[in-house]
Amino acid sequence: MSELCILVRTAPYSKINAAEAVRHINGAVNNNIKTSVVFVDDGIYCLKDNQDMGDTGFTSTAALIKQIIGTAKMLENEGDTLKIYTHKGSLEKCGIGADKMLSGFEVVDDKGLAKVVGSAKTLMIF
Amino acid sequence: MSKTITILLSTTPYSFENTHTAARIAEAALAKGHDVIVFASGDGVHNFTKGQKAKGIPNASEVFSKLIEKGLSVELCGTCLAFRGIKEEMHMDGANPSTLKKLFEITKKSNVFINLGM
Repeated sequence: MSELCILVRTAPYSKINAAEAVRHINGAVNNNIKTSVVFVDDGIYCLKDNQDMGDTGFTSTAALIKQIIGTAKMLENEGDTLKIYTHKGSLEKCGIGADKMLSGFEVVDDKGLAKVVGSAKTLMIF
Repeated sequence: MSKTITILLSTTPYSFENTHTAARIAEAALAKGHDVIVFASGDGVHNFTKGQKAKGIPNASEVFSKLIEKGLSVELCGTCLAFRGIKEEMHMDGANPSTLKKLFEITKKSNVFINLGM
């Protein structure tokens, strides 16, 4: 059971939500909070690898997530501080091939999604 | 038995109904003797600036000032304040800069956690 579940359901850059989600994931990891993160619906687009930000001034969500995963691996003792999930149906709908997304995350179906969300003490939705 | 209720408020005061909802939940919970914390994040920090002149709609600074007097605790994300150029003299008394670390401490002790965002 995680202390915190962060549900990311919005695509990056059009709203601040995804960036705020990433900021809170980073904060949770750095404060050693056992955290599960689920990317669902348009939140899946946060995981699109090789996002070209050009001169927009935005920061790539995928690049930040990679950094956070690296931090989590350095900090965690038992290997379970940060657990990231992606939602199967959302992945299928997004139209981006798996080879173009960050990978290595557990893919959950609707029931799995409900279980991850339901088992956390606190839920933050972005 | 008294419980701790935390409300994460992350939207501006007058574009959404979240501020009104947060205030009504806080008011009802305080009246029943519960501890209530509003943690303002992102644009939610705009709820707690001084000198708001809103009329014909619940004035966020007035509503929250009264609730603070009744015991509401208010934490403002410090990074979000700095991000928006909101300086200490610009936010209302009783609403103080806070940190993500504090947010996670609060979530640990809270019995109820309510998200009010976009």
